[in-house]
Amino acid sequence: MTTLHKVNTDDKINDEEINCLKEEIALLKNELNKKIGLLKIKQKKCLTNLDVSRYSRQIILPEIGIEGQRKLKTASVLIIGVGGLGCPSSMYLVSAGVGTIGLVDYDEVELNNLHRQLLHAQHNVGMRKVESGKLSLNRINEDVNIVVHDVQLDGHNSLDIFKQYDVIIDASDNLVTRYIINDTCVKAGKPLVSGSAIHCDGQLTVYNYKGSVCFRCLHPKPQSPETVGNCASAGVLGPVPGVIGVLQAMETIKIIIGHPNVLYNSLLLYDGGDCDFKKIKLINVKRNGCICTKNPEDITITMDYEEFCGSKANDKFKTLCLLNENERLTVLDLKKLVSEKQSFLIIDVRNKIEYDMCHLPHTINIQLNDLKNEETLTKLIEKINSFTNTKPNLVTICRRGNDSQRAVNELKKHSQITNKVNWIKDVIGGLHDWSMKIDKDFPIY
Amino acid sequence: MTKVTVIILFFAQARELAKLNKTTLQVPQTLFVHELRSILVEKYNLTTIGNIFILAVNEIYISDNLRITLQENDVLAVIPPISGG
Repeated sequence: MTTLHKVNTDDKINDEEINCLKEEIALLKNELNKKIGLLKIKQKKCLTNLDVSRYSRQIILPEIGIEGQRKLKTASVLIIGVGGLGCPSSMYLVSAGVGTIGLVDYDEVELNNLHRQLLHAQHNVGMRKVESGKLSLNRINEDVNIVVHDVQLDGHNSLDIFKQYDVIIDASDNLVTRYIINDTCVKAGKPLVSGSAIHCDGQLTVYNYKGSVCFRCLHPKPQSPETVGNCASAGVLGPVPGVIGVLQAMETIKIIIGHPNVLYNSLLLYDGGDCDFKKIKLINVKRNGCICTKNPEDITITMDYEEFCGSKANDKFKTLCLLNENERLTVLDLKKLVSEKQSFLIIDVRNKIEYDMCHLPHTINIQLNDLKNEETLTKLIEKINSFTNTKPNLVTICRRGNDSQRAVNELKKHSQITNKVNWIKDVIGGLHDWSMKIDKDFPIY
Repeated sequence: MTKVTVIILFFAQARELAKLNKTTLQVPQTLFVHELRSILVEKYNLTTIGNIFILAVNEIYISDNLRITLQENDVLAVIPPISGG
């Protein structure tokens, strides 16, 4: 009984000691965590010796110095579009030691992106662009915090994202997104480094900076996407967005460090064909009643931007429906027609460069615009008349199945043609569908 | 009406529509910018981008409601917006 009592007393003493130690450890752990947090904050705000070594080649510039590098380290930049512009701009900003980079993109890496979008490697085809981008950027600099926003930007989600960043880079590929970005920057009071590129042409300016103009001042009316074109339909030479994207990084760095000569109230034009740069002064551009003259609280950014622009917030293909169902063939119909060796004439109405890239056998190339040309029509009619025994069928085909419909409508205007053929039909989905459903080796572009 | 010869530079889509990089044209010396715009649209096949390109004289933006007086060899730039990237 006594022994038991003794044991109990010892246990009690041990328990008390253990509890005391536990409490002490908890306090110390708490203290440690606080100090780790403090160190992280200090490290984020201050430059480490490693930082100084890493960025020494730019710190040594009078424009940057220790203070400039510290500003870069504490800065955050949002890049919308991880494509031709977003890749080079993010690479330079990450390399320069900008603390946080946000990436916005809703798309996947495609094979036809690789000629200009240098963050994405061949084995990343099919991967989310933001993920592929984050991987490559952290490979360049693991100290930079890369935040991914895998969303399609719209007037409802943009403000919450933009608020988290100091500078916004428009590296998007379509007009709708450009208006959304502009309006959100105006409302959130963020400088907007805007770049664009197509063919061999590039443009660059900084909107909404120190009272400068906004995108709407310069472009109050949206242009129709058909007239201006995008990289998918009009093409772009890789170094062109490369040049503009690198310049976007440069202007962003200048904004962060407070450089006096940021490119605002000027529009830079780059003509890659002539290797020429021009700077247009944007004087007296600001319009009364423009969104940028209003109080930020009074600005609403929830309008239907796609309706306003009459186009979609992407640079993807828009399918038209101009013909009746009975005037259209599927690629399977076309395959059958060819294999049955019926008499037919297939007119590929794409331009010559595209035709030279790839075409189906037994086709002739007449560009859509040339179908209005008398001489071309005469030659076509001769060709149709050369079918002596039977009336041929006439098939038009193009890349995706829009121009081929326009071509059918153009051909139907001429009785010398309609009288000499059984029918005129186009191919739904064009060569793209042929490649997807019939011949996987046929190039998609 | 006094006329002057000006140099015209075409950018991006304007270059493709006009099928020209650069040309010269005789225009009235004093006119509204929107009148100048109409002349250029008509002469260089710019209808599809007619109301969206911006115009600059000697590398300075000019808005449609301005009345301007041009000098011999002034350089006009026809600049349509680009949205690709």
